[in-house]
Amino acid sequence: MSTPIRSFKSFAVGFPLVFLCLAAFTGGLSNAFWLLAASVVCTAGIGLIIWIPLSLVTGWAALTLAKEIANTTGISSRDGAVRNAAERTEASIRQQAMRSSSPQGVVARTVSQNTTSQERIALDEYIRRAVRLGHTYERILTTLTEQGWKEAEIHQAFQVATNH
Amino acid sequence: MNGLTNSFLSHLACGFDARLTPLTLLFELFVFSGVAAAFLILPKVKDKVGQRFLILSVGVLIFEVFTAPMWHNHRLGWWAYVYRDVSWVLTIGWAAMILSVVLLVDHFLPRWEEWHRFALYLATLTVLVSILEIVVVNIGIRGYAPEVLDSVIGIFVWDVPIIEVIYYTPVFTTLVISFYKYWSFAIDEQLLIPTKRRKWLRSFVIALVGILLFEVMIEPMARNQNLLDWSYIFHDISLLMTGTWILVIWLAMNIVNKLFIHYSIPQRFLIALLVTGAIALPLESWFIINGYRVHGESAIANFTGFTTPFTHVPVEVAFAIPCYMALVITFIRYWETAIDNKL
Repeated sequence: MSTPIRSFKSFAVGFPLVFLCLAAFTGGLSNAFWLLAASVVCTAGIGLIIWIPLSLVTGWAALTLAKEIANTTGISSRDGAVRNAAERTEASIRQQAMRSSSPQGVVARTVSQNTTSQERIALDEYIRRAVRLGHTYERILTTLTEQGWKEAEIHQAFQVATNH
Repeated sequence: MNGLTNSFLSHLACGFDARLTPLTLLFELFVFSGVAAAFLILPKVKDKVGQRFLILSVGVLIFEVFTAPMWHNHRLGWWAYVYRDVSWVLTIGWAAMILSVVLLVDHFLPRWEEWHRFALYLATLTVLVSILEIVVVNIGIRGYAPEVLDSVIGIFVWDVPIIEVIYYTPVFTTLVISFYKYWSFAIDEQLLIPTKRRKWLRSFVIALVGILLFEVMIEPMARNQNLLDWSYIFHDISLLMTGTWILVIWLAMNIVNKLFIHYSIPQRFLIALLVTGAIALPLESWFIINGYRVHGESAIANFTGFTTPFTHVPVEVAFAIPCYMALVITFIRYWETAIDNKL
């Protein structure tokens, strides 16, 4: 979607939300209207440079939240479907590693217990971007172990990133 | 239109001397030339200058809106204001000056560590801002609220409380530059290391430093009273009240960054803003209703008369909380990220 259309969509969603929040905080729709109108009129319209960006940010946040909810509840868009497919591939690589009876398999099982899914997503994303920027495995390993990540989980995430 | 709205209208920008004078016009031309020069020079040293300028302007504007009761900005022309006497002309002037110093120092001293460069930004800006403050005060734009004048040490240089300016400026620029630097991670799409082992003590110290410095600066806006005597650590800054803010913000930030580590910078910022705001608003309302926090006359004069439902505190309090949190959250997160990533 092009930027102007996206901005318009964010504004169209954000402005009513800002107005309703204003009404909730000022104790009524009429109070919100007069606050908004007066803050624009008394600054010769320049006050809009606060309200418009505020509406855009609010709209963007609301749309992002709606998208996240749609993705997690399965009412996903095409982007969500692509992402789900990628997640399934990653999960299968991880499950293969965990099923293995080798020492790496034992480590992979331990890693899976000690790392939350949010942390794993963050780690995968970091490694994917680092690989794209040309960072070597050694460099990634050193940087991440300093921040508390285990070698095994870095190795596993690196495999996922390079198998894509 | 009801009486409340009439009273609100009389309180807005319509209610002060906005008439331009030859000197203030000259000052504005100086600001516009400075902004134009920044837009001519800075693209030669860094990309996305427009976005950077916008972010810095937002940081400065948030600070100015929040601290509006502490000073007034008059005689800039009827078209120069965004809300009451908060002026976009001053906002873009400060933003261009701060951005120029930050980008030029970064460009010429790329090998310096981040905190060394940060110290140089602050030193340079303290000198520049002090000079400009003397100019704006002496040409009749800037004035101080009585509460600010009451709290100053009393050493004036050309009508400017210079000791306070030397304290206020680094605090103001630290918060605004941290705000800009935090968002520049997103602008530059910088590769940031996700932290698995959270350093709770370190983030507590950063939160403590940021919040205490800010609280000392905005102290004239409200009086903290009726709290236990032993809890006052400086003037009316109370360990009980400020300590509560530090704990709330520190805990909320750490929980948000642990649970939403996989979210983008803007998403995490908004979640942190919502969580801290949702906790801070009822707490601040409780402090106000029970007489622990009493706003100064200048702050009260800035209130429109609208109050929040349920807690019945001035609506400006509800708007000020996200402004305060936006600056404090970005300060904490910027320094944590800079240290983790050895910038």
